[in-house]
Amino acid sequence: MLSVKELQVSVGEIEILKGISLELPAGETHVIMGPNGSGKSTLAHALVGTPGFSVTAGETWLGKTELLALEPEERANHGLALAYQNPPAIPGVAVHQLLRLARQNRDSLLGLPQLPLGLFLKELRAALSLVGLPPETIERAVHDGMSGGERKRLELAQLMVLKPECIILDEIDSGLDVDGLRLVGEAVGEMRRSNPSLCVLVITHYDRLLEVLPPDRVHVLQAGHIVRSGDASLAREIQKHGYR
Amino acid sequence: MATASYTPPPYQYGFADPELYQARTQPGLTEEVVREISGLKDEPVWMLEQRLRALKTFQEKPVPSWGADLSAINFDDITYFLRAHDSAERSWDEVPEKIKETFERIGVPQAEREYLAGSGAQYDSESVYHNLSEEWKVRGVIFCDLDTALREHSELVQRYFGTLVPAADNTFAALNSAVWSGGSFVYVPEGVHVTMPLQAYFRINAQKAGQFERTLIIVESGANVHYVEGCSAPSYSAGSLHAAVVEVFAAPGARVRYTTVQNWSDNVYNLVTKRARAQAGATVEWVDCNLGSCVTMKYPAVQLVGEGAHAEVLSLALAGPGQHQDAGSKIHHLAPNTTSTVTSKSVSFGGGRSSYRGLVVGNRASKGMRSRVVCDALLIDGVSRSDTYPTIDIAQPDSTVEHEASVSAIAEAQLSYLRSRGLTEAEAASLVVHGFLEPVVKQLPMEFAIEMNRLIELQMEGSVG
Repeated sequence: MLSVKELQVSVGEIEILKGISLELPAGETHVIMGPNGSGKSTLAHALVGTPGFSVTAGETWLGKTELLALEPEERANHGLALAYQNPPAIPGVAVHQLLRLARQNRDSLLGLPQLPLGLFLKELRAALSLVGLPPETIERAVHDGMSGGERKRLELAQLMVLKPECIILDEIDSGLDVDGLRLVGEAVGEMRRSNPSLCVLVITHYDRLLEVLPPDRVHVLQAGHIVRSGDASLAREIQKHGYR
Repeated sequence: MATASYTPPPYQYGFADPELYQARTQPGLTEEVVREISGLKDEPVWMLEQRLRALKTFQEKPVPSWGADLSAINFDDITYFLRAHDSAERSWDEVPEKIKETFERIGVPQAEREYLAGSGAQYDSESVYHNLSEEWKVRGVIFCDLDTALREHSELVQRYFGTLVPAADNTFAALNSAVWSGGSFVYVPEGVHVTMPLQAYFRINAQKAGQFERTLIIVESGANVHYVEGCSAPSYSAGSLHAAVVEVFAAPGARVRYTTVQNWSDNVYNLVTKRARAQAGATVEWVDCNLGSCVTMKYPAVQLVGEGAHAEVLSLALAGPGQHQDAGSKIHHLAPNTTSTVTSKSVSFGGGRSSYRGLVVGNRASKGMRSRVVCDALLIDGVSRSDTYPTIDIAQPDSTVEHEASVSAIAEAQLSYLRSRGLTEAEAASLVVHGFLEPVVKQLPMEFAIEMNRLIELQMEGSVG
C-alpha cells in the first residue's frame, strides 16, 4: 500500500502542497482531481523524487519502505513508477536500452535472476502490442519524434515492463483518443492481473478516464490541500458542477 | 539533480615507464636545442635552416590569448626531444621490451593484426615501430615515420613540407616547425584504394615532455585512404605539451579520411594545427574526437581549391572536470561548386567546458558553393559550460550557407526521468551522452566505434553520480 502522511512540498520558495495525507490500500485505484495549479503533478513528482520538488515535512511509505529518504532510482527499484504527463525525448537512446537497464535494476533489488534477453524482449513486445504500438518501437529512441498519443502509450508500456507495486498516472488521458483511453483501462487491468496488490493513483481533470479505470476513492485537491474525499460519485458530481 | 560529488575519472592509460632515454635535450628551447635535434637526426641542411627560421618566428609570436587559457604553459620547463630507441622497427619483436609492453597494454599490435593495413607507434619524440603490410607496399603505398621519409623520400617531403601549414601560420605551428620529430608520412599513388585503415599511435611517456610530431599525407588522383590516430599519456601532475602539425594533400578525385581519437591524460595541452587541401572532385573528411587533455585547441581545416571538392568535418568533444575542449573547423571555399558539411557534438559535464569555434569562408571564385554547419551541445549539469563561436565570411552571392546551433539545455529533465525509471545517476548520464553522440560515433569504423564508446564510458564513470 501507499501511505502519504502530512506531506508538504515546495518548489523553489513556494509551498505547493500544504500537508497531504492519503491511504491507498493494496489493490485499489484512487483518483486525485483538482483544478489547474492545485498541486496534482507536484504530488506525483514529489513521490518519485524529481529534483526541484523539495519535501519539507511528512512521510511517504510504499509498503514497509519509507520513500523520502531514497534516491529516485531506489524508489523506482522498490516498485514506484510514474507515467509522465510530458515525458522528455531522449535522442539516440532506444526503448529497449532504457527498459533493459531499468528492469535489471528492479529485478536485482527484488533478488530475482536477470531475465534472459529473449524473454525480456518478448515481454516488451507484448506490452507494446497491448498499448497499440508496433514492435519496431523497441528500436526507436525514447519519445523522440513521437506524437503526444504515442508518448502516453509508451509510458504505459514502460510501466508494464517494470512490474511495479504502485503506479501514478499523471494526466494519462490528455492527448489520448477514445481508443487510447480504452487501452489505458486494458493495460492497467493487465498489470492488476499479474499483480493483484498493485496500487493505482490516477491524476486527472476529467471523469471520462474513470469509465475505464473505475476508482475506489476520489480525492479533490485544491490549493495544496485535499478538501474532499469520496467514492466514484464524487467525480461525477465534480464533472457536473465543477470544483466550486 | 542530486549533488554530484567529483572523484577523478579512472584514466586507463595513466601508467608510466621509467624514463630511460638514449638521448634527450636539456629542458627549454634554444637554438642549440634545435641544432641538437637536427644533428641527432642527421638531417639535410635545408631542414635545419627551416627549423632555425621557424624558431625565430616562434620567439617573435605571442602565445594566443583569444581561446583557451594557455598561461600555465612554461616553455622553459619542457623537454623538447626524447629518444627512447634509435630506429623505427618493422617488427614488434625488435622494439625494446618495456616499450612493447606499453603498446600492448594499449592494444596497438593487436589492432594491427586484426584490422589495419599498416600501423605505426611513436614513443615521446620518435617512432619506435612502423609497418605496412606487403600487399600495399607492392602497390607503391608508402607509410613510415616522417624522419625516415626525410631520408628515403626527401624529394617528396621537400616538395610538400610546410607548404600548407607554414611556420608563420600560428605560434604552435612555428614551434612544431622548429622542433618537429616523428609523425607519419603517407603516400598513396594514383588510383590506389587502400581499403583498410592505416593507424598511428602516439604516446607521451616522460614528465614535462613535449611531443611535436609532424604528419604529411599525400594522396594522388583517384586514390583513397583512411588514416587513424590515437594517443595517450601517463597521468602526471605536471603538464606536457603536444603540438602537432598535419598537412593533407588530396589530388583531383582523391578521397582522404583522417580520424583522431584524442585521449591524452588530463595534464596534456593539446594544440594542434591540421589542414588539408582538396583539389577538383576530391573529398577530405576529418573525424575529430576529443576526449582527453586539459586543454585542446584544434580546428581541422580544409581548403577546397578545385571545382566540386568536398569537405566533411565530424567533431566530437567530451569535456569533463578541469577540461576545456576548444575545437571546431575551418573551411575555405575557393573554387566553384565546392561543398562542405560540419557536424559538431559536444558534451560538458562536471564543470568541463567545450567550445565550438568554426569558420566558413567563400571567395569570389566559389560560385555555387554550399555549406552546412550543425553544432549541438549537451550540458549535463549547471556547473558546466558550452560556447559557440561561428564565423561566416562569404564574398559570393551565389552560395548556400546554413548554420544551426543548439544547446540541449541542461539534461536534467532527461536524467531525472531516467532515474525515476530506476537507473542510477551514472547510468542515466551515460545513456544520455551515448544517445547524443550516437550520430557521430556510428560514422566510425566498427572497431573505433566500440573503442570510442568504451572511452566515453570510462571518462564519464566516477565523474557523474
